[in-house]
Amino acid sequence: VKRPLAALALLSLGACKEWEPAYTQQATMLPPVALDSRVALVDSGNARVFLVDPARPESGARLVSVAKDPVVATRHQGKDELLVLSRGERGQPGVLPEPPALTIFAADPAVPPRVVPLGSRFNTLSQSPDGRRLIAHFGPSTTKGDSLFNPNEIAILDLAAASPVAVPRTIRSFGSVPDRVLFSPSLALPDGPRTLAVLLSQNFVTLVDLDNPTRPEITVPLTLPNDTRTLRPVQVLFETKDPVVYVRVQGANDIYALRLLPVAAAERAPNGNDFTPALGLLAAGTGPADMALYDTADGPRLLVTSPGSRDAFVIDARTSRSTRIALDDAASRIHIFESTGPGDPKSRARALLLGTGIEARTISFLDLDQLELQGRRNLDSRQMGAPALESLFFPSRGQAVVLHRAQPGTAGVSVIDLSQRTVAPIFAEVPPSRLAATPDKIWVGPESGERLGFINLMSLAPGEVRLEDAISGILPLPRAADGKSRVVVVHGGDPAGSLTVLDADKPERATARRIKGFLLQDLLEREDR
Amino acid sequence: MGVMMPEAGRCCRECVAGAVENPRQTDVRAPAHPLLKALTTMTRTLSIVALSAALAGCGGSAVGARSGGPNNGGGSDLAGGSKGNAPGANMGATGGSSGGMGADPIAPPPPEMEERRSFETPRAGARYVYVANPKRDTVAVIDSTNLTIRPIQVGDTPTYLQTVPGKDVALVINVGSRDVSILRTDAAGTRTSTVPVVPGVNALSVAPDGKHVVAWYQSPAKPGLTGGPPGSFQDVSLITLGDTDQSIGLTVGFRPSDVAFAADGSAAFVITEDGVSVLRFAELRGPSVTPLIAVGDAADTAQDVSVTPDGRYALSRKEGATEIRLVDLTTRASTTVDLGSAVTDLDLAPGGDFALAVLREAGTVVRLLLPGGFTDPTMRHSFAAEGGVGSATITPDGKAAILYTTANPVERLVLLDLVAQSTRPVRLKKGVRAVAVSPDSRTALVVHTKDAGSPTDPSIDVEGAIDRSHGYSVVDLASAFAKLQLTTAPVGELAITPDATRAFVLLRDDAVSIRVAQRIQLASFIVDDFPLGSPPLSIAALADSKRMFVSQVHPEGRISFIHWETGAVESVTGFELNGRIVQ
Repeated sequence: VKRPLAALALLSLGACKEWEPAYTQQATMLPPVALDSRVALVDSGNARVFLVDPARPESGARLVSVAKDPVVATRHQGKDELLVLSRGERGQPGVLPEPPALTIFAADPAVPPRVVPLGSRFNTLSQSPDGRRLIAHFGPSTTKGDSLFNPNEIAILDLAAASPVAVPRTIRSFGSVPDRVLFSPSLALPDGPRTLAVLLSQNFVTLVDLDNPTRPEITVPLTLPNDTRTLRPVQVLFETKDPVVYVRVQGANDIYALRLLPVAAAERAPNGNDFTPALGLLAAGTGPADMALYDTADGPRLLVTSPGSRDAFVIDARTSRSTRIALDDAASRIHIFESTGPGDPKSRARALLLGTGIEARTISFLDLDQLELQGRRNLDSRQMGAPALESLFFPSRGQAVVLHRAQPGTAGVSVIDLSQRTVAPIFAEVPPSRLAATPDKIWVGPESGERLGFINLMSLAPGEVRLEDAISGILPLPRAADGKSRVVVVHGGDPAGSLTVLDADKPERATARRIKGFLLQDLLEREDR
Repeated sequence: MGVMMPEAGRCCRECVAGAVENPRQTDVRAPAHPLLKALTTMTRTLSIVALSAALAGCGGSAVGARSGGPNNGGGSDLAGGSKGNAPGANMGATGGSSGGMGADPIAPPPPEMEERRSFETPRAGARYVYVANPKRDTVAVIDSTNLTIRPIQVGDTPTYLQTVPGKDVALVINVGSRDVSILRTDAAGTRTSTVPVVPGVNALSVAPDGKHVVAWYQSPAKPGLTGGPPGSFQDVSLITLGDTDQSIGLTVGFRPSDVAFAADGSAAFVITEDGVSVLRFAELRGPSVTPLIAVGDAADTAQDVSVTPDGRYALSRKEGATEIRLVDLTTRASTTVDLGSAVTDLDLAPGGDFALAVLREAGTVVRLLLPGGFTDPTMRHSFAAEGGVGSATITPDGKAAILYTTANPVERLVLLDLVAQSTRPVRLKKGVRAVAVSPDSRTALVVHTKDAGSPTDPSIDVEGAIDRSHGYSVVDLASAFAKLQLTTAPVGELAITPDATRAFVLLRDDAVSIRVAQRIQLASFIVDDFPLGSPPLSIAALADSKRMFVSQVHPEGRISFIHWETGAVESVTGFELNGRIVQ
């Protein structure tokens, strides 16, 4: 979002083309990031990070500079830290070049930022769920770089190292460019537990052994050479004990299952991988849209839902056996949970299937026990008032929340009780457009207007807080420094920066605090003013 | 179960029981009848093949029994094998010939049937499975131990593939380039070589020692099945495998139907309508017309021929004839004996030292020592086998034979102990479609017929439901104990593990999506199900990895490997995609 900081100054100094003061430069804000107790806002244009502590709004934002051209800001998984990927400065007359870098900020101001130089001007960052592994790479829509750049180059970082370094590597390519990078959990592979990076690109999946970075990557094609389809891998699941990588692919009706089988020591190439993938194509109806793994007495099973054929499939990857369960309506999302069911006091594995982004108005409950044998007998369907746009899942609370597509006279949000299988509609005056969750509440941002809605998940009682500006983001902060749970509402319309801080336990206008103007707080002190 | 005519079954059992108590031995004086099957068993191999051989050859061994023969893939296709066998018929429907089944002079029973398997299926080596891909001119080599797949470029349109028994060597006929690619695989990879072959060949018969292969044209059961006429019905190629693979073109008799090999690997015998063309390898230096030895009258074009393992004699019968013939392939001397009743089956012992002729109408089985039994009546012994027995399967050890009929739904086997010269009945619950014997000669697997109608029809009783079900029985040949296993789908191919501890059968019914491999523990007769992802096509054992491979119907190709001890199942789909994984 680009906004003028000081339009007047811009007009008066517009003739100066070689040097532009800070107060004339447009702020390009990256999406805000919620840390444990702070909100981080990154001004990409001025290469600065604003760390705001909602518990102490009076103290202003903490400003930290980063390498130039920050393009990604994200929370370091499992840490109260911010990761900022900067592309650096290529250099131009009067402007010195600056290398690209990853900057790691701790929320604690006492901890100095760590800067890891990167060899190339990457524009995408992927990190493992535990936050240890990081891969910087080029996204598929990369249009700018150096005079020459290699879109298949990546940099691998181990953030658990005392001094992390970026290890550059170029991934084997057959014309495609990595689209996404995912990380496996620890897999039981022959040489010992291992983490793999799975690089998804058009028509290919690439496996990289992160614990043995010198070993060659494994490239798995999704199509044959004369296949004109464009297949995009979009979802990956991992089976860890007897390792299998399941890949759901947009454009294909099969799930690709890569069983990672051991390679006999005698047959391994020097520095070769200790495992090899065996590909299985698992039939899964038409247009599989989501998949989930669950355990049975006979081993793990993959549950796939395919809205194109309005069915779900239970698949045993070892035998490639698929069992079809016709649904009463199309479903595109799967949530696995354990709970009791109506008339069944025993807590068992079950699944909630619902359609998000499609016209489905029916949700399905599947009892996973003996599902292959019982088929539709394990299916129980419920109606919703309107199609779903998004869903949030709270298995520990036994609830799911559905944000509905805006339709006049229908529910804006539905709260699903997973055990009772009830669907409680909550109507909305203004169509909701975004959801956020805290432990006991769902926060609902309206499409327009200044009223933030919330639903108490215990009582299902809705409430609202009238704010001063339109809502562009809702950031729950789980652990504020003072122990309180807060919700920060971002008002993107204010070029000087505007946030509202709410007490998540007791959200009221009376106790809400506004933080404004923090983007300008050092304007007069900056050297480049 | 004979629900339509229970008295008939009782009568038959009594007849058999009498035979057990007082087995009659008589010299054969009467002439015999014709045979249906064309076969020999001079070069049987172990295990799978032995089982499938017996199965495939109800009424004797079949082409599929041949070691490395064109239909040898380790399993036997039973699907469709009932054609001509009136599977829905029962005794009531056929008029209920009580007493001796098939003895009705007005409505003679159909001939004993053999069953064949399709050719275009993956083939097993010792560790690797080979699958031809005619569209990509490749053969996918699948390692059963780790499921890695390597596509190997071969000639144009590889279509007909065969493996050398017990070895990771495969040959594939490239229909487009008119040559044969030979693939040899080990841990280091697959090496290929190519030899030219005569145009039009569509079958490969491999000698048990793996040193010679005959490429020949196998006429389809129905015209047009192979997509075009061959250049000649009489051209074959002899491929010699070695450090330098070679091939020569040869001319044989008209329309070959089978190829047999001498046990010592010195010769091949091409069974043709004209007789037996003898290919003595040491004497072949280049293209030539091979010696042809007639095995019947000139007008006899439907001879079924077996060749003894030593390659010395050819044994033949003609369907409906009472006379059988023995031809000395060295001297061309021909000897016939008339057994007095139509010979419905003629089975050659694995060792080639004797043959069993079944005279269904006479209720007799005749054992002829070879060659003396054709000239010396004292070297022929008859056993009473009344009750419509029309087929015989000699156990691999040559010490016993299983007598049965596939022509009528007779619910009984007769075990003929060739050492003690006694018979023993085995009561079954359903009619017999095929019989297979384990390579250790201890267990038989009997595939049953199915009556028409639904087994779940509420108007029928349990007996009727059994008759209307698919199924098979496992028979302990020592105790004559039989266990009936009903199945939800027709019993398809079967295979046995090389150690003879387990057998596997395939069940497939696409209408109700039944796709199962069943494992039969031959020690306990316990049966386990292994559901499959796609309809199964074929099954075979991989000795080195202790796995059965089950190929399945899938557009990208699918194989499941079942570890026969642990039951662990692993599947691989998409042979070409797998082969393109880069490491």
